[in-house]
Amino acid sequence: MEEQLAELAAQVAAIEAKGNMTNTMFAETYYYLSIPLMIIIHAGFLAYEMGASRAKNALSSGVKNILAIAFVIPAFYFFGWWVYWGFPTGFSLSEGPNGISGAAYANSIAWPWGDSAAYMGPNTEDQIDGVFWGAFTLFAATTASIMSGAVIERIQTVGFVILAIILGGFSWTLAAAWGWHADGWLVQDWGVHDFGAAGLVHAVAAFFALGVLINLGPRIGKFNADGTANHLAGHNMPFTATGLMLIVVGFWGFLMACLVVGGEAWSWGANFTTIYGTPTNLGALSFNILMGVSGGIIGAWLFTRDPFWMMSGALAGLISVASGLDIYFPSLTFIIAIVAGIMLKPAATILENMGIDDAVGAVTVHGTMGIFGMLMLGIFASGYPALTGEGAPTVSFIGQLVGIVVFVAIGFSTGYVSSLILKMVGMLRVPEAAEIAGLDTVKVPAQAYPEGIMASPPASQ
Amino acid sequence: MGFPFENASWDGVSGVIFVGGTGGHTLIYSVIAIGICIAALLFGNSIEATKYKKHK
Repeated sequence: MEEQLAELAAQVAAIEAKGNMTNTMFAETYYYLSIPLMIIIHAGFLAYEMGASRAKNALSSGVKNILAIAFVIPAFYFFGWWVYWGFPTGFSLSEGPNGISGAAYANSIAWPWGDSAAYMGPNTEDQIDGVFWGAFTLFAATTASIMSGAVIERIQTVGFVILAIILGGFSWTLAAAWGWHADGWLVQDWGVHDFGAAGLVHAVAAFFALGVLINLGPRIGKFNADGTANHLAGHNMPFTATGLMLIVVGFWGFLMACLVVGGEAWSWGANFTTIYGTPTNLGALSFNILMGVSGGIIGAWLFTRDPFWMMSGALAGLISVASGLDIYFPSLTFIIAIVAGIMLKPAATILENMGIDDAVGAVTVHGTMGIFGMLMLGIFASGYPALTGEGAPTVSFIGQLVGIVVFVAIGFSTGYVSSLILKMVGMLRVPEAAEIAGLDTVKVPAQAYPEGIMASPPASQ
Repeated sequence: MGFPFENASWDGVSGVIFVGGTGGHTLIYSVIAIGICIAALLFGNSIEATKYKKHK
């Protein structure tokens, strides 16, 4: 009898070990697959911005997008990851209540040298840090791409790359440390809840872009002497609309990576949770992402009938509900997203009337809608726990307001100051003659359309 | 350098498996990589500035 019990116990232990390993491999695979999905966001931004550029600037806009990814990745490897783990409690760099933040903790896991390098490279005893880092790196690259569209057709390439490194490696990461990390002071003290990063990714990147746009100035020909604006149409609207749809596809990866997989030592419990440890699941995301995209498109279509604004409406709808994708009821999601879609074009016009040349409406889509989304959660989800556990802070309108003010301040101040410095050293804007000639002709050793854009005759019957 | 474990299987290795992980080379590799990024930006800016000079 004892032998049988011992054998049974051994079999149970073996099954348990296999179950644990399967769970670990699932968690690793889950985040790993979110990375190529998020790369689709960048394929979308690439198409979107090249299409939104005039033909003379199509390739130079694309070069900018490609380099943004290339330089933000190492920036996030070398210092961005440290910022996320070091700064949650603020500039004191002290340890937070969960014991997973502060300078000492970041030093132990996030520098790619010394003992902490064990967590920053292949390690058989660490099957999560690499894929976590990868997902966060793509969040970082996304912020750079958000800024990228606003500044097309007149920004210098290297100047832009430096701005992308600052935004992707520091600005948004600081916001994420404060408003996403479980030890973040905005979460702990103000109950900020921003599940899908409407504020800490979208608004930060958009207001960073606004700070840059003020120093960069409008494209030649955008505004008349009396201040009225001209529409500088991109050369390929089908490409732009397709790119926007690809961005929507990629955001499925972005948002799945906002969940924390259960069952691991670093998890919040046995099941899916938000990054704050509060309960949700992939079903919540499916309901609300689809309803948000749908509402945004319909809202924009009602008053514009323009495919550019309709697809921008899809993004606006998604961003307007991103903070609460984990807990919204789908019908409410749909209503909020429709309102976002309706507000989109008028909000962009207001910005344009202020003399800001945001070439693709990035400040409006990501910034205005990011603010709107954060505040809507403060209204509709007031009283919901912002963090897991007893006595946890709760969501409130004031808390969300404080959160968005901080996010906007981080984005705008770092964008404005860094672009001002680049302007002072002559690295921000291209010379007037180069802008008029077209940036592809000036600096890209390739042609977008060497044979022109020709319509081919139909095949004979 | 050299492989620091007895055999290349999950039973035979434990912990860090990357090249240079046991020899303290991570700082050297990282410093060189950071230097290359900075040099690439300086070189790129130099090329870009030359192009713009032709269109002033």
